[in-house]
Amino acid sequence: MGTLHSIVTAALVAAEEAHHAGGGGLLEQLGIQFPLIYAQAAGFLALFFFLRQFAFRPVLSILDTREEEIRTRYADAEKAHSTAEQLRRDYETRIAQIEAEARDRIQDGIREGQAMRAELLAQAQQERERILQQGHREIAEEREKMIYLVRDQVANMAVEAAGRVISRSLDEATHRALIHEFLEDLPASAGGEARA
Amino acid sequence: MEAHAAPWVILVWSGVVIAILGVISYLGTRKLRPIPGRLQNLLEFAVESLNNFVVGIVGPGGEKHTPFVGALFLYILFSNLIGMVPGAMAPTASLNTTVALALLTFIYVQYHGIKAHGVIGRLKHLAGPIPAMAPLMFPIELIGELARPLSLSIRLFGNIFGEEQVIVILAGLAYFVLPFVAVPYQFPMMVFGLLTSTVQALVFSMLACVYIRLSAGEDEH
Repeated sequence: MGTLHSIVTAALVAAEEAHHAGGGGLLEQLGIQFPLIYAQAAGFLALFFFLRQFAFRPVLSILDTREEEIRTRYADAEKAHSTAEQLRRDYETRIAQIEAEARDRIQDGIREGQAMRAELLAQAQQERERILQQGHREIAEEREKMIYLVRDQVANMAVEAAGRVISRSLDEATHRALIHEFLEDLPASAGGEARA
Repeated sequence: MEAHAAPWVILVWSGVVIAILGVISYLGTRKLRPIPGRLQNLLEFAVESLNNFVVGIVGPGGEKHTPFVGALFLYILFSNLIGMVPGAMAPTASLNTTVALALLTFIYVQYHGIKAHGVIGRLKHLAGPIPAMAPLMFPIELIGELARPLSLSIRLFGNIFGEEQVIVILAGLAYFVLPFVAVPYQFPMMVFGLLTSTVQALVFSMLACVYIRLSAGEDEH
């Protein structure tokens, strides 16, 4: 505190000496006038309160509001973006599932078609076999019929020829029995050759 | 000094500066809209820049000091610039103006220092961190505090007053080289004055922010 006292004393002494030197006070020499200082201070204070009320507070307030609004909108946009992204992933998953299902169905259809084709082929094969067998049977039956007819006609011709040759030495019934007996004794191949 | 010649003229030009700033801010914020017009945009730019400037120096929570420091900056800048207008006089070229501003800054800083730490806390702050050194530190700190408004006011006054005097002298040399053709020798100095006007307003405001931070902030210097 002693130091402060000595400094203040020195300043006061210097000011007093300047005053006694005839140049007026230090403040006067510097052109300082307290009424002017008060007026300038009052003017600045008025400007300060006016600017605070009409410039800084409203502008800072609207800047804060705008910042908050931008932050909110950005957050909303971010949320909407993430929702859209989620939806996109869901749709992609669903599309992939649908594609897989469609592929499976196509494969099932192909398999089913192949099975039907095989079944139809088997049925056709069986039908063909059946028709073939039936044809063979009918052919065999026709052949038998033809053999009998040929034998009958040959027998008739033989009887007629023999009758003519021996001039009725035997009756027709005896000739016919003899010829049938003869034909029965003939082998099947002989019958075929005879037919041919 | 000019104050002896026309002491009350300064008040007139101060009034002009205050009126210009007041009208601009009133017109700019009369109808605030979410999508700003030109004037509102300009004001928003100025206020936001000043706010960032103050918060950048004072730190978090410095927004509450933006109106004071912003008003200081704008008033000093416009006061400096109005001196460039022929026939006008820069209010900051008067020690009365700069002393008033420096004293208001001093009072503002002390008020917020006491508000933040209390009277005892503020005195302890001035006494320094080591109690044994308090008898030495307290007077030094006190003188330092009192020297701040002195340095603020003298610096601003000296720069602007000196600049204006140089411009006046150079303008007086208009017919010195060519007798019948006026040469604006002061023009380069006036361009330079645009820079110094801004720099001085910035320096005053920046130092005010630093003093606020040292006085009301949490950190020790």
